[in-house]
Amino acid sequence: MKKSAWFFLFLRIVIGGLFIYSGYSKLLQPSANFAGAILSYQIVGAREASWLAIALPWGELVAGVFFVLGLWLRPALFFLWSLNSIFIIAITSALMRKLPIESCGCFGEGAKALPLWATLVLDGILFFIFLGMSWAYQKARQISLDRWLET
Amino acid sequence: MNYKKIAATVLILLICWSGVWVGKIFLQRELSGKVEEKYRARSKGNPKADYWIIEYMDFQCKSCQLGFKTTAALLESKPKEVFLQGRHYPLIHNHLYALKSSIYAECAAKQGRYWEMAEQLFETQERWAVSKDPDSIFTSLAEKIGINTRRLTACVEDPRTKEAILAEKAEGKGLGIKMTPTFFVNGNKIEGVEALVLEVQNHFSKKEDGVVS
Repeated sequence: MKKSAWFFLFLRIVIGGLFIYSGYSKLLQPSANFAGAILSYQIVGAREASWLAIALPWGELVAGVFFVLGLWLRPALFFLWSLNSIFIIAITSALMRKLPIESCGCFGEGAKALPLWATLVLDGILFFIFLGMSWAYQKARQISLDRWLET
Repeated sequence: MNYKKIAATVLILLICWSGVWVGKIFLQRELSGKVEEKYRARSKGNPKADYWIIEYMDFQCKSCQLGFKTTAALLESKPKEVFLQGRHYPLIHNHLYALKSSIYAECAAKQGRYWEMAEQLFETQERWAVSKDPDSIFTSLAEKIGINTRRLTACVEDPRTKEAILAEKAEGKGLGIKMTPTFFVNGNKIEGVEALVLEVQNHFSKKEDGVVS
């Protein structure tokens, strides 16, 4: 097995793992918490925020698991890439409009929220990783359930 | 049609769903119970209400100022349906007078004036947060609402007051509180004012629709 196959598997585990953690931790809390965070970006209304607060975490969790396992890898990749793109647009919009998102609460000792610009940088790096994986898709799916179940 | 792939998909979806269900049972930290003797002076509303909110706040936190007004307005509009309780969570490393203001609020509670003092603290937050002598401001606020300042001073200087507040904060940390304001609404942790407003709207609209009794 080529080293690149293991490298892409490692990437899938790390990135998929991030989305799994993100989705799972949101699902363990009342959806109002995430809905409040969505509302603070002032892009959608309360009703849409409430629905997104339930749907998005499930999407993150399920797509994250599929991404790690390499099952329905292409749809999972594009779904997560789409989420990533939406986050980039939302954060950029918030920064340009100077929305007080980081002032939605006072964070306790040792629990500082990542500044928005830092989140944007990380999401930007992720965007290019997804781009790379879609370009080298056949290598990215070398070690995957998709491939194993086809045999 | 790849049946193996479909079966694997269904299995994984079931595992995801189960994982969330198990997590909600074992990992979710909730706050049980609402009325304890030590919090009685910091409680108001209907103790028999089926909708209760415990509000962890820092008097120097700007968002807590908004949170306080929000819960006060809710209680005013639904006095029989809501029970509200205030708890201390001073962010000592972030806010210079967080602990001090909590001490004064706690000592006001001992004289049955917690909510009045809390209101005064939030209304004058911009003034005392930048003052070099906040004690004078806090004492004058206390006088304004009819607190016995001799008893207040004794309470403020008593180290047990500070210890009790820090113990309460540690309890809040144990419940997973990372920010203020954090609310426990019927035991469920709600972070921030936006989330609280949504939660309240959802609950009372469901109640009006007959979904929740």
